[in-house]
Amino acid sequence: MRLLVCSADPGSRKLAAFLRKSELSDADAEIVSPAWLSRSFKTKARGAFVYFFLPELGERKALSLASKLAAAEDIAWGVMDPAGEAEDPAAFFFAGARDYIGPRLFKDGAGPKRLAAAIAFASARGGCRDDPAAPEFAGWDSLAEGDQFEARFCYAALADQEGLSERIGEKRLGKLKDEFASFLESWSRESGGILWIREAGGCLLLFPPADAQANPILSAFRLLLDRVLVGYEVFRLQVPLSFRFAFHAGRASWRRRGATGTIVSDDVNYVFHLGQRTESDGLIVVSETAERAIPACLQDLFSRAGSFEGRQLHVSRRFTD
Amino acid sequence: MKPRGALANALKRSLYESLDAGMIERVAQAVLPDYDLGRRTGFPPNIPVQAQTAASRVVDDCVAEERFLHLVEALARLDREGFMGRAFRIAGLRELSKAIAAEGYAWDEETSRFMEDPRVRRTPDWGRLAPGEELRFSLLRIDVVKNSRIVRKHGESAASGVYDELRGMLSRSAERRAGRVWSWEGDGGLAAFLFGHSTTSCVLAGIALMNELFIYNRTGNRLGESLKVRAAAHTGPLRYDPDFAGMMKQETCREALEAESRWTPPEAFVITPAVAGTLDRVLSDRFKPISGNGSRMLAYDSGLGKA
Repeated sequence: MRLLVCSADPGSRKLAAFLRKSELSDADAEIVSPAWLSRSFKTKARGAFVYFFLPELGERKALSLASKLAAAEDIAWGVMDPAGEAEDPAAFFFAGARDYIGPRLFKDGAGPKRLAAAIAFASARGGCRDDPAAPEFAGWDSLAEGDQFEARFCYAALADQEGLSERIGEKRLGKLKDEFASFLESWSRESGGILWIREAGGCLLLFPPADAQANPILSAFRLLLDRVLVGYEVFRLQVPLSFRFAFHAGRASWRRRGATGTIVSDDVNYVFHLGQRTESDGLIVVSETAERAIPACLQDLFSRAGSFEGRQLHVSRRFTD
Repeated sequence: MKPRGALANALKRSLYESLDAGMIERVAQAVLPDYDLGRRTGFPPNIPVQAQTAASRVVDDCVAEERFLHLVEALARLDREGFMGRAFRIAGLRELSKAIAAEGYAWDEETSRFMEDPRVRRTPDWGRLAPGEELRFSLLRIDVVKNSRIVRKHGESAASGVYDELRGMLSRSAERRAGRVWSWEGDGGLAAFLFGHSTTSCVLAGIALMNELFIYNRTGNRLGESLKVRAAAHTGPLRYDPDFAGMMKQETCREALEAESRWTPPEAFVITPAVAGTLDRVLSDRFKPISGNGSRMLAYDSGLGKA
């Protein structure tokens, strides 16, 4: 999620102090001029959350810029008002604002959670999509055999399959894998995904290149969080159950499910290699190509973790039993 | 449940078409202990009671004592399992089931009981408890941490909006596991579980609630700060009383409240030793002793590693 702060004075010390206190680096929040925003919002600010810095802009200018942004439905905006100079802060909300950072919050700094809450609030109301630049996805049914398509690939597998085999037996494990594959099929549907390829160790799921429904990484995180419930209530297991997920965005050539044969695609190869690493048990691993899919609300739970086959990885905190 | 006349008559017919008077009395005894058919009908011991008369008396008595569904369940058990090695085929059981479903009760395979169909209604007594009935319940108690500070800081309207969503989480997690929210006091409440493995359902609901709250605090919480709750699960006997204020004074409810308010740290879900002893190992292993507060409670550990 891009965070832009619109200020007539990009070097404002007040603003720099606020960003520092809010733990926002230059990469997290970009300061832009009103002229840049007026000129480029349709092309370069899609999906961003824009804060208007009131001391440098004034109420009228901020509202005028905000009314321009209304032409792009996927940009959300808010106001930073360190001196409390707005006559009636509610007027901003009547004009469509999604956040107001008043004097007290500005003085103390807004933590990542506070900003994530504003973004979540904006997203729930239609603004501020995580990946707005991606074209609308026409659906898996629209693909013809051999079509090149873009997707977020997800390799999902049961964790510690060797240990499971010892505890519940090879036969029950085989049945569990079948049940897990059926479960993933309906689970992935909630994020607009499908189960594409199933192999002995796990399943390859496809998700649209941008979020149309639930974010798949958030759904994977929920599943790891709920693994005790899923193991006990869904699969009726008397032993601990966990999963691992690997996400990677890329391209492949479309083959019908069940008749995929050998797929020649570097990206598919890569996600298989990434997902098969058992050291990822209890984790969500995301390659740099899918980094943008990590929702803002979970970003503090992910960290950089080296690279794999030449691509930078982001890894969630591990769930252990 | 008070059945309509036609439904009661259908049950009478099933009974006398399938069983003799002696067996009808045995079925009644499974529902109303010490049931004496002779005494109830007024027939002396030397005069045999006709099956039709026995069926009519038993059904009327069960209806009067709010045990109609229990009687049909006992018949379903007899049909499925037989009695003392002998098989019994109960006529019209399927039709009875359908007629009961039309009244808003669905057969639950898990517990082999008729449960209130949650699509039709959800009442605190599951549509089948009688006042004064003493049963073992499992209770899930939750309370918002530092409620007054939240209301002061964010205003009553913002706080109550978020608390309403918390109540929704409690309802969803409890009702999905056949539990009922018995009370809600604005910033906390109590859910009860009775059927099936009630302690397991209660603990699973507690875990589901804590997990949902974790995600909610990151996605939907409009306060801009985490909503923290204390949650505790406890089990014990209770006399059912539609007046919940009265029921809250009973020992098991008081113990559940104490487990939450006295022994549960903020942002934790704890279970009492009475609950822990009944859980399958795969669940009880998820709970760890709370260090430092001297209690015997165990706290849920989601297993999410530290940064």
